[in-house]
Amino acid sequence: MKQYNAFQNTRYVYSQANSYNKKYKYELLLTFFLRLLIPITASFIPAVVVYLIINGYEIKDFVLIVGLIVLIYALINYINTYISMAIDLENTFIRTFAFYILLCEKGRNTGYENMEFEAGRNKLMKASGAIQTNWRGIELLLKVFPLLITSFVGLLLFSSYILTINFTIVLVLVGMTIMNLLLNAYARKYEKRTEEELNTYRTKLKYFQNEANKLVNAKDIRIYKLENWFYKGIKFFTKKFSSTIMKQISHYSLANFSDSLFSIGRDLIAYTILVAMVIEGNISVVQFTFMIGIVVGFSVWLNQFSTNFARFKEANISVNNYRDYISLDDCINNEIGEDVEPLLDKKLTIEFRNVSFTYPKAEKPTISNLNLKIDAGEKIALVGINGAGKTTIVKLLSGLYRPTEGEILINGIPSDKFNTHEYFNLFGVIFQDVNTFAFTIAQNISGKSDKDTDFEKVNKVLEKSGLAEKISLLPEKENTHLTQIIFDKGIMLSGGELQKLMLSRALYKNAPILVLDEPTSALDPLAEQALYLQYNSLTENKTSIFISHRLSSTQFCNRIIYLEDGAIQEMGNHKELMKKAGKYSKMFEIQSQYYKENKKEENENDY
Amino acid sequence: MTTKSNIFKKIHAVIKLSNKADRFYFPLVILKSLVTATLPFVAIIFSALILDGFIDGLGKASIMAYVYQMIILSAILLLSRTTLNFFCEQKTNLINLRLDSEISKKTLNLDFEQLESQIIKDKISRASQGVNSSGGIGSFINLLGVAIENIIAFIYSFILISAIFNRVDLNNPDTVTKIFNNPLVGVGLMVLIVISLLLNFTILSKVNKLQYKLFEDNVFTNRLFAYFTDASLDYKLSKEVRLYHVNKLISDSMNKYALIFGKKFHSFVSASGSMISKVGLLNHIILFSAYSIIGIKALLGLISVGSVLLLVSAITAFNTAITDFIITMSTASLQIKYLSLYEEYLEINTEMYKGTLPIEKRNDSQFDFEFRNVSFHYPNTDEMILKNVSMKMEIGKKLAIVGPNGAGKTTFIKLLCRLYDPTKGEILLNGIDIRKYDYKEYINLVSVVFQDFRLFSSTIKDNVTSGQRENDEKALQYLTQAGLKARIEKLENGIDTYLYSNFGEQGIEVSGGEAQKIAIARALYKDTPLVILDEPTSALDPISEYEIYTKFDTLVENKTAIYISHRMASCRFCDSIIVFDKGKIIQSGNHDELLCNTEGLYYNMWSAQAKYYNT
Repeated sequence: MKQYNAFQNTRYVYSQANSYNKKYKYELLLTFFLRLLIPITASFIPAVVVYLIINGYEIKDFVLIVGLIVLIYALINYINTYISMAIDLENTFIRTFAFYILLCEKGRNTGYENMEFEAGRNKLMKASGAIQTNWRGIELLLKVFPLLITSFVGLLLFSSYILTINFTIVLVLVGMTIMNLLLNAYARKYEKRTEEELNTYRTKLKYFQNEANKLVNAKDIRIYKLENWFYKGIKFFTKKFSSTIMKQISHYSLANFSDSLFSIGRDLIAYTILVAMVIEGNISVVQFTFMIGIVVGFSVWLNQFSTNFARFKEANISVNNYRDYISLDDCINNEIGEDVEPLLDKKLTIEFRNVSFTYPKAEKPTISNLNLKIDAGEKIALVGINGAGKTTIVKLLSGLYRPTEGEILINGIPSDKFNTHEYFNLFGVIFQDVNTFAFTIAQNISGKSDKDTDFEKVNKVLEKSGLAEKISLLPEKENTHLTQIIFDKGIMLSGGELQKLMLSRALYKNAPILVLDEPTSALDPLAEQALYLQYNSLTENKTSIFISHRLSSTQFCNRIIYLEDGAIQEMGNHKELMKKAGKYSKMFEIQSQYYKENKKEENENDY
Repeated sequence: MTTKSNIFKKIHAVIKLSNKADRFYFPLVILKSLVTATLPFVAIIFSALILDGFIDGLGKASIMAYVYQMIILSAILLLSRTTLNFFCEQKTNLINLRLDSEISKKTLNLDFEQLESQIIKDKISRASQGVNSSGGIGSFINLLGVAIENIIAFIYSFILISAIFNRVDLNNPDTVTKIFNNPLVGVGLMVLIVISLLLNFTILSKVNKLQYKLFEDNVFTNRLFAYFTDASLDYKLSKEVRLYHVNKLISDSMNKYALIFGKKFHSFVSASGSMISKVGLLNHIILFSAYSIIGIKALLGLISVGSVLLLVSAITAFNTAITDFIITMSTASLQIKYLSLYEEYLEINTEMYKGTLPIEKRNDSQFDFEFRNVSFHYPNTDEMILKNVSMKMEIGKKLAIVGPNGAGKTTFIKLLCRLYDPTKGEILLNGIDIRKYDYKEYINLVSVVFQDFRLFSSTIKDNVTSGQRENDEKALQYLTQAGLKARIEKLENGIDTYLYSNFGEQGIEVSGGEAQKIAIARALYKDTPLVILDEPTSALDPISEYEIYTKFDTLVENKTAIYISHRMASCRFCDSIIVFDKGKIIQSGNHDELLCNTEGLYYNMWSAQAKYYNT
């Protein structure tokens, strides 16, 4: 993981902030000066009052001078309060617009492999921690850094003033500072050591809490009485989490104790020295008053400094995680690539040349040395048992995965020569797992906002996929929202309806290569048949790949490819493969068993 | 706006909650407040004594005596405070964690039907956000601690201020001196303070109202923003986001809602910013007045210089104590509102499961299920999904349910599981309406593999046994029957392997088909008289599917089984079949009987599939 140091991270955060809001730095500068002035003025006032009284000033002069100082003090405070609130607001905005939204953009644009595989997911999880609340990560840094600088300058200022009066006091104060920093550093080290553990507990606890709240889990939870399992999980991880946190807190308490002891020592020494100086006439009573204020002020600065230093370091780790993710190699081609336009309405050839693919951390490749040529306009059926690698091939072809070895060529052009975002335009894919968005039906189909959606086309594809009737019965028709997340009158679609929606989406895209991965698993027999009957017209002028466990679907494909352990075992059309009496034909026989007109005797052999 | 007595009642309720969770927490907080409040006053009093000591010319020894006393007292208080802080922080943490979990636990216990209601979903969302905004019970108790601190500080400062009302005996005072010697001058100052406090109070109430309104206005926006974050970062949606270039739609929506929230937040800060700054100004007026009046008294010789600092500090402390008390109580009343959202959620009553009849224990699985004139529509719509459905399930027999999408098959199952209650008609178990039975016992009779089943991030074993009564052998046995033996044998940890990798264990990903097999094993492990399988082989390849079909008899033994599938092949190994269409049962019988009716839906569906296998 790339490590940036604290100052690099701070510079990064502030330069992003600055590009978002140019006035921000001026507001910061202003509060910096004001925050220094405030405690100085606060110590000044009582000293002045004592001076005026001891020296017997006139009442009206007294009132005037005190009034003036308090006025200045009030003004400084007023401006400071107002601007501080504005800065707090800005901090949240900066976090949201300059960082949060950027992270989401990265998530949407980065290579798919970064999203699916564990390494990328972990980095994303850590990066999310930096932007999700206003007391961690980015916003914490924005809050804390100015305070850190202010308190540091304050420490310097105050200690230099005290130095002019007496050296020993400064020594004690410095000792206090050092001890404080050391103990805090020690506590932080411990925190760091236990951070992983704490994160694990936190994630697990959140998992239990969140899953318990999800509607999709509710049925299974009730049927299988998983409530207890959840209770146990919650209880267990609450305990673990809190005990780890308590240990971390204990370490920090050590620093607190040290501070308390030191401040007692500081007061003792400071007062002893200063009282002696007054008695011996080295300083006046007025200076004494002022000095006490400054010594107390120093401790306040010290407290602020060490608290904010700790939080600064904490924020820094978080910001580092964020940057680590943002600067992650997208593993896609973001450059201008081969022209995709001319390919969009042609029938394309597809070739896998010596393609191998191994999942990260897997022991052996899922796809090994695959060589396959698909002609333009050919309809391919891809079959094989679970885990054979069919879906992996789809992800490789469509550009979601990159081959570990070998290359994939579209119409003779290697896939990595295309700009990845444009490459996606070549494929209309229906995946096995149905995923929709909480937008309207039309928007789910087009993937775009209303003004970029061709509604005529939407209605056409709804007809073709068989969903038109259901949609026409809805009051808002194709402008009905899915789920009730965005709009409370949104609807839920059944499994079969969702699959028809997925088909609509692929049809709307009208890409030259159509890939259907189990598109009928939730469709009833009549709807399934409707799809098969239409298949030729749906795939006219396209190269298509049909993956299904329903071997009946292979009959309208030109060629069937039987895949096992990531390699092609058999290839040919249905008749050829049945004649061959190999694995495909065995599989077909097994599935036909129950459909045969004359019910065969049950063949109890395990396959 | 909640009335004062209402607030106190609610505060009392929260304190009771806290005491229930930990009876030392609140007392410790009170103790901490006492110590914290006392600390600054030690410095105030002794500083004045020392200053006067200088002016009155006391010797070094006497002054140092003051210094030592001050330091010892401060030391005791300081160390006590640090210790108490330590304990309080720990307890705050624990209580907050427990709060979060209560929401989840409540959700686990709601009626299924309630979970789908938009109102309840909103309540969950508000309760969680409310907890986040309010910081939970822990921070609320801390807030009360601060309030108590303010009260104690108020008492101390009031005692000290009383010196301002002292009248000094004078010889021949001039007019000015006479005026300032009059206690009324002190009274005047106090009146000024009271007026300022009232103004502060008004302003702060307004700010709090604004803040709550901001919160209310943004529950929806926040929820949406969270959704779009999910849509951007959840890997499961990321394929679609890329292949269907949904990128712009999501980012536009995100920006839209961020801007909406931004505008509201902005206006809140502008409004409250100026108000809060005004509070600061009022406080400075008080400061000036205090210095002037007390300073003049000193100039006139009515009080000592040390007393000036003492009195000004006392007045400042007095003012701060009351102002802070107001702020604290305002924040508290606001937090109480947030906490009420949480309480509101916890208090939702479930309506459905009120039955109390126990289920008689039978070893012969002779449980007789019957639907009698059942009609049903979902809570949010009027559209009847089931219309006057009547049927009896033959005990120990296997029933296949087929029909087009949306015909009502899955709804039928959900009613059988009592996830919903029928709108009309009744469902009977052994002749008794299932609503009369104790739900927990009723559900012991049924296990289901839903079409959209869910597995959890735990060990395979845990998923199969549902975290109960672990029997490794049995779990493995059912996993084998479901066809997972080979896969599990390849795993280093066997059935103790974790599914999915949410936590960084070496969790494995399973394919759709493998997950289905685990779900089937889970249903079988529960060993219930009624087993329901809703599309259990939709993700399985033909070989695995065939295994399930052929083993079906062994899998369900003499249980009553319901098998829903679009794969008409399953009708061949079931004893009877019912055909659903548009919410009604239109055909029933066995395979051969149904095939005779060549006009019927069953024949159509069967032929549509069979023809591809009979060429």
